[in-house]
Amino acid sequence: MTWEVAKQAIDFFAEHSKSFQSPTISFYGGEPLIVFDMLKKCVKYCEELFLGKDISFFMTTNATLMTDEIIDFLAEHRFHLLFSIDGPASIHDINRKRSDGTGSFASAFSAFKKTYERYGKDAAEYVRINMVISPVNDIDESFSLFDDKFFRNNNVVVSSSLADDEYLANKLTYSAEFEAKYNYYYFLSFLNEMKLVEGIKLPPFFKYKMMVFKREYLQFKRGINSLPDVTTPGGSCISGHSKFFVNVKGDIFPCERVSEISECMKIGNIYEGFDYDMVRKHLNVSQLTADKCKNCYAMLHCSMCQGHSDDNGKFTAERRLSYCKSSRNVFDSKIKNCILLKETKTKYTWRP
Amino acid sequence: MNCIIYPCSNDVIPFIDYINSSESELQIVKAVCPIICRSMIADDICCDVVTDFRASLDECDTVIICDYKRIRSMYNDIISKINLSLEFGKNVICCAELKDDDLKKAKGIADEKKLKFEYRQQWDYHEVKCYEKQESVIIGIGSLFSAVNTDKLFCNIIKKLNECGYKTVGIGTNSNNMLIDCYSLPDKIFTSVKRSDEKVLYLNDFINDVELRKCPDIIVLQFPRRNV
Repeated sequence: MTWEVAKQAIDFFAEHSKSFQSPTISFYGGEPLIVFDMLKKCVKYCEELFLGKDISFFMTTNATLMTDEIIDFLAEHRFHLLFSIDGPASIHDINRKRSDGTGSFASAFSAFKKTYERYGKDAAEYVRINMVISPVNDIDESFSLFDDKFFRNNNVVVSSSLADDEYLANKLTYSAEFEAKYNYYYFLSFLNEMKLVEGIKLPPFFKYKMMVFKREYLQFKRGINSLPDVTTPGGSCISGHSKFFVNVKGDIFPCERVSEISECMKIGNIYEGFDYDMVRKHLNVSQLTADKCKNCYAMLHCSMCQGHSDDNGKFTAERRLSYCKSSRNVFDSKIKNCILLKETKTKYTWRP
Repeated sequence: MNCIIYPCSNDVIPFIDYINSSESELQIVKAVCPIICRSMIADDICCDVVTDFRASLDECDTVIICDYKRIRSMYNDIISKINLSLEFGKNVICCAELKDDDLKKAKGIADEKKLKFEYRQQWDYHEVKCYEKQESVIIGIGSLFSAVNTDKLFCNIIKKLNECGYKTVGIGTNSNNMLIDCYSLPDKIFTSVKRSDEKVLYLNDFINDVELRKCPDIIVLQFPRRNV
């Protein structure tokens, strides 16, 4: 990205967030630290432009280019950092190699630890790990990363996601063994949560997942009285409303997770502004499948976003419907979890 | 004294209203905010809101720097505004927390130019004694809902009680309280002290100290959000 595009993107953001006290700017790559000087320039400009607002910076990094100077800069400007670390060297190095072909785990993990220590008492809030779990790897081996004593001594927040094959030509296959092991960790998490078994060793993010389950359970308990007359399935955001992503050319997308080469995901550009016709299409993407959605029991809990209707640059009903099963499976799992949490938290009293 | 206040935000409006509607020797003629914040300032503020700090200096003899601690990135800007104010011969009342070096430097410039530099900050409070029972009536207020502006409530209750003839002192949650002759709860009570019973002792001791100093009829105590 050139400085001109970056500056224009920041100006565009400032212009469209006037009433917002706490703006957030996130840097994504590839690897954002490849252009560290540009990043510094952006931060300086943002701090001047947003003076008086509580601006925050976020960055996802593979940490391979991290130096002491960079760590100091990031800590000084209170960057929220997400380190991509997929497991121990034997797993991480499969997909995350340097240009010379060698693995990057050793330097990435070392940089993570150094950064965590540099942030001091605020580290847990600002420095986190995201682990991408690929079904082609052994899940126990991935989790052996947490045997490192650093994780015993520090309360590191770790999030995880299953490898995304949305835009891959060859879809990932989930073996029975992988699914069994993955589900077993969930089972252990529940046992741990119910305090039925003591001393269970769990990867950190399963504790986070339990918090998510509990939050979902509380929402589930609140329930709803009836469906509103006018509504839309859950899952989709209002494109461009609470966040947007700008690519190197200055095109605007709803977020960083959608395809940048897809015409239907483009909702404007930083020079001409939002393309409101396209934003309207995003808002109403579920009309492609209105009849099916209206009769679906999981409608309000649907997890499909606009990106799930993207069929090589066009929104199509076929593409959207192809995700229905997995979206309903997610909802079914939520219901199962909620029932389990309800059952185990309920104390029944026998009355003669 | 004609004053300008910087950086203006909605958080500081209740204090501006209080000062301008009381018989305080301070009168705030302009509230200055960074350009990007201008559109966020509520319309019901009782003085002009402007964005040109330098031009506003011509219309005042005192600059009030208010508590801005939620916005870390403003520190250098605050220092430059203090220096600019002193350079242009203005007195400064500072409720923002400054680093020791910067405070010393600002005081030095003010002394050299025979200007007033008033640094209104929390007491450095250490002692914990035994639990004391207060003679004053204590009214506690806190925010259970985000829509409630407890600063506004705090200022209005104090103002009303004073108007009714009660000698009222406030203990609030940020350093801007010191602009209206109130006190600010030491952060230490809620951050450094871990045990709840110790927190109660510290809080009681602080209230007792205020009571001994001011002998009020009523103390209005504003609780930080997390402690309600």
